[in-house]
Amino acid sequence: MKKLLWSLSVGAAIVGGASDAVLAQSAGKSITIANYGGAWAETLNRICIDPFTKETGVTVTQAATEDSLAQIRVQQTTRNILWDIAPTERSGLPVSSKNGWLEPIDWSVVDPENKLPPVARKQYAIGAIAYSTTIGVRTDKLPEGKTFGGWKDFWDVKSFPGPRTLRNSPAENLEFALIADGVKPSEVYDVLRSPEGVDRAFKKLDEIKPAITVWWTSGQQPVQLLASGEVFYATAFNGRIQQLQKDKLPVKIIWNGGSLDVSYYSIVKGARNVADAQKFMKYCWNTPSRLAEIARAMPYSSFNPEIYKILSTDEAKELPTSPANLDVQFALDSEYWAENLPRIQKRWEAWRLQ
Amino acid sequence: MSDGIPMPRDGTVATRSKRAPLSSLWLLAPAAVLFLFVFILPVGEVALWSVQGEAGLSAEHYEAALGAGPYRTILLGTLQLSFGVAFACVLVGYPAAYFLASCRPRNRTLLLLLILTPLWVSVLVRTFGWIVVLGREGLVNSMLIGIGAVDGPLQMLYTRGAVYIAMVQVLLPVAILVMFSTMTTINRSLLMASRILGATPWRGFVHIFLPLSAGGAINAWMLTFVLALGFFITPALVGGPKETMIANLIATQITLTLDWGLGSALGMVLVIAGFAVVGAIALLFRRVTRLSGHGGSR
Repeated sequence: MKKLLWSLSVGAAIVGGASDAVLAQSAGKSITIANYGGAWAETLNRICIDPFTKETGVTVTQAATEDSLAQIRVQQTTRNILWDIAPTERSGLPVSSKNGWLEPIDWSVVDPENKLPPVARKQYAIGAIAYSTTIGVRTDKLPEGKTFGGWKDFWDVKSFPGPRTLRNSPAENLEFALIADGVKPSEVYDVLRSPEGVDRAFKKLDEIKPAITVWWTSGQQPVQLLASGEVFYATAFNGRIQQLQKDKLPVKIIWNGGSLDVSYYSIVKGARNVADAQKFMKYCWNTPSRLAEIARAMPYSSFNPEIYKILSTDEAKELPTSPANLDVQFALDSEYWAENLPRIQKRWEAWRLQ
Repeated sequence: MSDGIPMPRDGTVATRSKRAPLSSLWLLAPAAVLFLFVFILPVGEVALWSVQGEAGLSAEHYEAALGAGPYRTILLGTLQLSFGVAFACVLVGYPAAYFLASCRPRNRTLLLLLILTPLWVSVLVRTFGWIVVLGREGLVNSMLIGIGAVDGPLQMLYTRGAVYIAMVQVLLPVAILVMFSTMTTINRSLLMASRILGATPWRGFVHIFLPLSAGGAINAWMLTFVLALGFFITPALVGGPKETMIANLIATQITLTLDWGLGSALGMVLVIAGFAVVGAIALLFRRVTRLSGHGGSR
């Protein structure tokens, strides 16, 4: 009975996804991929999904999600599994792995030649692509003759005056604050894990707080803020800033001290079609030709080094995993945040209201 | 209105409209079933989560939600903001509703349409509109700088004021409609009678129209207040660095920290606070609201 109540109560929220899955299921073999919508979904359709269906006859349906972790939890608790593949980035992967909500990846299928580095080869997930949270700078608002170098300058409101925006989340911002405070990008998590690390980060954040006009919440927001001149300096996903550059706006990306975030995809425990889900992962997220095409369509790149043999130097320098950019960034430690987010989130809310 | 002053001495009209015969209760069944499954059961489940601790029943989530700290501050801020927004909606909407109720039917339809049109546009789009208007390089600032009224751009966006403006704009049609529907039931012959008996138009309004329409104003206040409590997108998009609504906090707990116990407790506190405020207002003004809907026929 409890199970029934559960299904009914959450059913309303996910009814859209459910009907999609049911439709696809009735027509031969199929897999359902939960995914973020928008341009990324369209790119996947064009480069991976349509050819995959043509070659294998397996129908692939994308179900839009913004909060995959909460939905994975709901599906596991109700044992009503609607998805085969789901995004598990940030704390999604550690939390889902710990709770036993995922199927292990069969690496003999997905990466038989062992091309992916460990960061993309997790027991329960493939690191499909990486994106970076970087600083976007309005070059026309920069003081004459000065070059903006990174987090130290973001914090330096005297030399670089003007409104700024950061994401409304402690994750990444504590890291950025530490880098501004002189910590090397490669050592931020050592400092954060030390007893005074979090205090030190919040103390540094105190300094920049008056210059933050708005704390952004959705990925499009900082870009729109930069475009409208509402802020001069913003953290934003690299691909979004590059979109602005394509629109001929005077905006520059600062890779220095950026946060490299891996977009993980996992197979959900109890998925209906695990075998085809593994095949799709190999087909889409570990085939250099397709990965290169994805990187050309959107500036998000795989960890598979083969793609840099296909892409030109010019194309490569705009990508988060290109060797030059990889060196100056740090990789977001999702284990750290899975463990500490609930505690630090509360402190963050309190700090923001002070 | 055409049949003079209908004033039934025994109040039979009102009694009939108040009590539906028991045999027609089944008409409620579809709504009741829907309400049971999409409201009562889920909210019941959420209530259960909110009292579940690591080991059995526990008030820990409520302690976290209501104890001194950011959650209580945000909750109180949400209540305060909703209170003010609802008040502003009534204040701004009342004259508009009055005007609507007094104009000729053909004009009225057109005006109603104009008031309803914004409701068809998504809240997100309407909120983005304010970003264009109030931004640093937005319409108002460009104009002010253009005419030399100010030297640099004023910070209008990302302030509490911007949240007020945007939320009032979104909720205003609702407030107008509620007050308008009460005002149309008011028997205008009473006003005419007051004029015949020598009252000024203003006095007639204060002594007849205002008391008869106050119930509608209070209902409009309560409805907009409850709607404002759940606002989410607007404060996040145009609010300042400190503008967080309780709904944003609940979303963080559900999707980000996965602390569903705390999220549920915050949700329950919001529901209960909403009921408490609305209940208190209804009780406080029960004499006023009793008048409404009868249009002075009693």
